[in-house]
Amino acid sequence: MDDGISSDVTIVDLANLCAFFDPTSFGIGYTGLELPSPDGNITAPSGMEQRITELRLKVANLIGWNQYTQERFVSRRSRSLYPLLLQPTTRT
Amino acid sequence: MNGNAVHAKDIDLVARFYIASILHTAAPGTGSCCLAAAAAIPGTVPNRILAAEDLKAGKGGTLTFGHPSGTFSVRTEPVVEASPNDVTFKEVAYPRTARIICDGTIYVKNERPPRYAAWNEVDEITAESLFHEGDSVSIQK
Repeated sequence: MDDGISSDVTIVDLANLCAFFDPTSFGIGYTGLELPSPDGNITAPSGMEQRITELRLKVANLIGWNQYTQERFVSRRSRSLYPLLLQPTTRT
Repeated sequence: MNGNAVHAKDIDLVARFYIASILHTAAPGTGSCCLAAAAAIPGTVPNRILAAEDLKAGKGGTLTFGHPSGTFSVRTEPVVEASPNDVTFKEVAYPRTARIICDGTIYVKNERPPRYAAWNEVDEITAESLFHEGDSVSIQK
């Protein structure tokens, strides 16, 4: 990541293209057990939405989807078209 | 989120789905299939945190995971190859709920004055068009 933290990611395309990351290596205090607000907004930890965006862009570029850029992602209208989904997992 | 606790003993792992800028309040079906597939491939991020069972060993099985609103299970049957990039699946399946949403009787006129006879057929076609073949609905005359 841009702050120097390294996070292992597995990318699988089955039914939906997903990138799976380990929350213990994600930094910013993320645990993987955070809950959304009732309307689905990301509320915790601080900086999580930006972190997710950064990782999605890196994954997109890694698999050759170079048409996706930070500028395009910032447009809320474009976000819904963004074909990536990230999936953290944790041991309980 | 619904107040019901998800116990660690009942699940294999916990998952959160980020779609666009939204954290899903439950678990989408397609994403859940992808999660189960990833967990069934040895060495992936989800697979590493599984307990040592058939699923972790690449022999397939049922993954049950916790999400913000409860739990969800997906069954997989992988065909594992030497490279994780060559893995295919014979089966990735999850249950869906089904319920009857309508059950009743439609009454249409059996007799009309001769000049309105054409309406008999119209009534019948209209009644039948409201339901699919196999629905538990009878048409009475």
